[in-house]
Amino acid sequence: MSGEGTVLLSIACASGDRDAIVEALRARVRCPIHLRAEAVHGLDFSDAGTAERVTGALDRLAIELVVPADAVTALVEAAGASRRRLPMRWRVTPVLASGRVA
Amino acid sequence: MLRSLVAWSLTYRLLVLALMLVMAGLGAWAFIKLPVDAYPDIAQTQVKIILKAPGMTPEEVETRVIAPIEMEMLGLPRQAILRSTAKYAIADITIDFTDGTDIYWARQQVGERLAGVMADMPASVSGGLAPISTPLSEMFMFTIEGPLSLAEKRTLLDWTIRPALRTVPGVADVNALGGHVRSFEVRPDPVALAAAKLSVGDLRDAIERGNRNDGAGRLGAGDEVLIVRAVGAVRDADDLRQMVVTARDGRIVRIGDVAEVGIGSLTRYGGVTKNGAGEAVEGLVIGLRGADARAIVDGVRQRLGELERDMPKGTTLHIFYDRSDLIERAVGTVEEALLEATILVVVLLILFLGDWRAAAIVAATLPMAALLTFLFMRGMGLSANLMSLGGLAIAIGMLVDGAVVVVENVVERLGRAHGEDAPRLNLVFRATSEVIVPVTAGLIIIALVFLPLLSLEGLEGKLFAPVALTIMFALAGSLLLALTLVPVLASYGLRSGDHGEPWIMRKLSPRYHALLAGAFARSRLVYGCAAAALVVAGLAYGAVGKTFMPTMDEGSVVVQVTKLPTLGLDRSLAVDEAVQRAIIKAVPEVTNVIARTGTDEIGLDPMGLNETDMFITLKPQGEWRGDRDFVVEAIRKAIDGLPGIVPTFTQPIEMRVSEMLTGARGDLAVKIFGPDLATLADLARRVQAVLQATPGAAEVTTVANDRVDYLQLDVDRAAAGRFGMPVDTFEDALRAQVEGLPAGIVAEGQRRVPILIRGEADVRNDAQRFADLQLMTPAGQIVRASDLARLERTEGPVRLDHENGSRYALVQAFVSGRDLVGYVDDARGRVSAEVPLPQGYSLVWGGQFENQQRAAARLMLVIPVALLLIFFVLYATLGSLRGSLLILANIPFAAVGGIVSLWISGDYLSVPASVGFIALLGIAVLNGLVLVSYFRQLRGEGRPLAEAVRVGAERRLRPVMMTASITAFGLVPLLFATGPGSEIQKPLAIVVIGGLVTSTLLTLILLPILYERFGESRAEATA
Repeated sequence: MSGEGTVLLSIACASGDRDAIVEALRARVRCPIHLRAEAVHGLDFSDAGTAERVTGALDRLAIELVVPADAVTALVEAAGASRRRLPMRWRVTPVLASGRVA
Repeated sequence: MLRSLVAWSLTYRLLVLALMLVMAGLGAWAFIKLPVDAYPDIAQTQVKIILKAPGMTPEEVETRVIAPIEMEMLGLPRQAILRSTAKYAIADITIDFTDGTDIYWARQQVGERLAGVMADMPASVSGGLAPISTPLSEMFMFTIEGPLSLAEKRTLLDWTIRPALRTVPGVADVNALGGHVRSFEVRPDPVALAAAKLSVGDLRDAIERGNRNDGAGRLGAGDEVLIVRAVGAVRDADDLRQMVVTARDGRIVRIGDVAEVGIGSLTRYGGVTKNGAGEAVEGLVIGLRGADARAIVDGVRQRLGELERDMPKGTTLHIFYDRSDLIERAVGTVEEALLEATILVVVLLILFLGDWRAAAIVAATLPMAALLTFLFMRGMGLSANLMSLGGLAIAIGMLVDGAVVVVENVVERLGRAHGEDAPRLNLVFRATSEVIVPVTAGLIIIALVFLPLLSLEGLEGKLFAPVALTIMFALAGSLLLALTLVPVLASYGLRSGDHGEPWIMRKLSPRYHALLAGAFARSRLVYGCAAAALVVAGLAYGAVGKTFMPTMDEGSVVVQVTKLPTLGLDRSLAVDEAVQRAIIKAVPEVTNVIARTGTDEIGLDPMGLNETDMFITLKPQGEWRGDRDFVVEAIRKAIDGLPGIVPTFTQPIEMRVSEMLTGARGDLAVKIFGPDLATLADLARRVQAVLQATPGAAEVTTVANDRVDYLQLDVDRAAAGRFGMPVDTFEDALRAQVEGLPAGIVAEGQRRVPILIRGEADVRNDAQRFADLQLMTPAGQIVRASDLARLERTEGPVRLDHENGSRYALVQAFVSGRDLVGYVDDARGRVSAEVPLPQGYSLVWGGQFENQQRAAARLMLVIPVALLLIFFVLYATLGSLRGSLLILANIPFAAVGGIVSLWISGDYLSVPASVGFIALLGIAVLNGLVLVSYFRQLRGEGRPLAEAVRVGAERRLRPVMMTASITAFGLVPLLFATGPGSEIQKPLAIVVIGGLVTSTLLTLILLPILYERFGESRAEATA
């Protein structure tokens, strides 16, 4: 079990921007990238597309990957520079421990 | 799915606007390209066989022509009815097929069977299937004016104008009436003929054999060939005179030796007179079934303009009937009503919504819905006519219902959204989504109520199916707009923030609050008033007259004049001229009187020589001294004193529609079926007397008792045998003398002039000389007609009518100043009491009355089915049995105002009025649904029942008032319209407007009380 120096980078983006961001991240890291579809019902529509503004429901995609802490800046920059359509949000959570059980 | 449509529209707003612009453009294109006519296509699939049997009496026509054809035609697949009429020299057989039968298929069936039976017809019988036309086919009528003689005018019409007009797209044929058809006339000298030992048959054979050009093939001439042509055709009268009939003993006998050859005319079966100033020649353009009337008239006008330039000097065409006048006025009436209704609706929207932006958005859906409707109409092949456009005018108030509900909810949402940071698009989406179900259910309910109209049969079905379809298209379009364009426009146009209640609601709400409180306090009084209203409605229903359809003013009057059946054509025309002079002298409104007497060229309207259709054209209505009834009365008075005529009054299209439906003209057609002519005539006379004595009868006529004089030649078989004269040869010889014997044609360029062998005029006009006529027998003997037959003057019928192979006598009645059903009920009672029918005789009551009975029976069957469907929609929407039943209970109260207003206005309960009740039913249900669904919503929010109904009713006052008043005011222009077609829409508007008053009142007062009392079960109420 070890997790020292690694963080969980979570990026929330529009579903339509999935391929562009994932491709940009893949070019930088070799770790697994987890994707999860999320429906966000919220009042903050500044990130939303027109269709999402209409329905009031944001179709988001959560992209998660565990990376060394010092790689975060480069990864966020790479994702930010990808051919996205809509704004994305990111956050970093420290990984205290992780492991694999066979 | 509907939510997704709204979401998609708001997501792609610019695309939606662009699509709507495209749709509007397409709709405008569809409107321009729509076939336009005054009426929808009301013709059933009908095939007519018109046969000419020169010289034959009605009884001969019946026996030798009609009977074999009827035998062959009876039992045709999909045949609805087989009618036939035998008149002098004319057999008219009409076969109606069931609705929906393809006309070309039907004609093929008839054509195949007719081809089989034509071989058995007498040799002189000619004719066949009449052109594919309908009662609305007579589109354009004109006379030829100028210095030309009648024969020259007729030649111009037959050989120049007719072929040119037949090439105009949509023209089925051009009927030629009046004048003289030029012919080469060979008038044998009986003495000379007898001296030369020749018969008329020899003469005919000689002419036929000696009149031909032909080729003989190619003849070699060195390297080249010569085409051999033998010329032997008659070129002129002189050629005819020189023609050799026989060579005997070295002497040749030419036609000129035994006959006089000259220019004459074919035997006339009719004529045209104009303005009492002599005979005229008339052309009548018949349109093809389903063709665009406006396009035909434009095409004909253009072609006539081209032709007129090349006509002989001083010759002009006088157009006296042009369908486009009626079309423009009928369509104009509806267009005007549509425009006025739109303005009224916009004003009401501003009043009720208190926001010009909201009103403008709703108003924008009106033209859009109309344009979408035109697009649907073009797709479905409907024409623009006063019925289909009338449907749009009726629906105008309902078209905005969906948009109103959406916009009202969006306004309300945006008003409440102060401080909420949801995007504006989301607010509009949520507001629209909230009302998707009621809007859709409401529009489906209104569309459902019009479904029964599609099940109507016969004339009423053909008239009102376009109304129902147009309304359904318009409702579908308005629903589409309410879910797409309206939210998009609302998202752009409406302002956020609370605008306060509009002025009208500030005035109405407190008053309604007080009224409702009072009603709840005195619920027994309310029940009592409602019950009393139902009783009044019951009384009014009994008192209101019932009829089939109001009469549409076509702007022209037709006077059908029947004279003594024994009159000859010349005398008949002289009487017509006297009638015309009397009308023109006494009635200043009349501009022209053109009269058709007898039979036309094609035989579409085979009348006797004593029957005349007089087309009267009138000055513009502004120059009249009174209304149409006044003018008709003035005409009636003008000809009242003239002896020997029986006039009846109708209109061009009305006349043809009546004829198409029953084979008879008149509001009521009583058919007496039976085998014996004398008994039928006696019964017809008695029925006529009873109908005439029944109050409300304007004109009652029958031809069953009309007799014509016959000179009957009873062949003495022994004498005929002794002289060697076969009966058929004798009869042919007689016909040749009087009627004439066709003997080929002379080709003059494109013209084909018939050659006719006929007797001298003095033989044709003198019975004694005719009896002394010398005839040559095949055995070579010369005998007089009176040697071979006993001559006596007798009487015979004018016409013989059959329906499905059975003889009948017809009595026709026109009803005036009384409702048709009341008149028929009265007359039926009297006839059954006063005219007992012998064994084997039966009586059928038909005409317009028959249509009314059929329509009423069908509506009685279909409306309950529609109500059941509405109940299912209500139940699916509300999920409450009690709520759904309570809404349906609103319907009788809606009918109260409808029937009472009809009673007060003095109008009759007709098919259009019934359509009004159907529309009313939809609106009443919709209003009930608006209220009850809100009661249930408030109950769902936990409010007590008593509070829910009071608060709910007050809050729903605005939508209920808006829906009702917009629909009612949308119909107000139809109430005051005066153009053609307004007669049909007026009763409908009266019913809906009157019904909406009581329906709205009862929805707003009685329904809350009833809901509180019966709307929920005890368990629900206490939950």
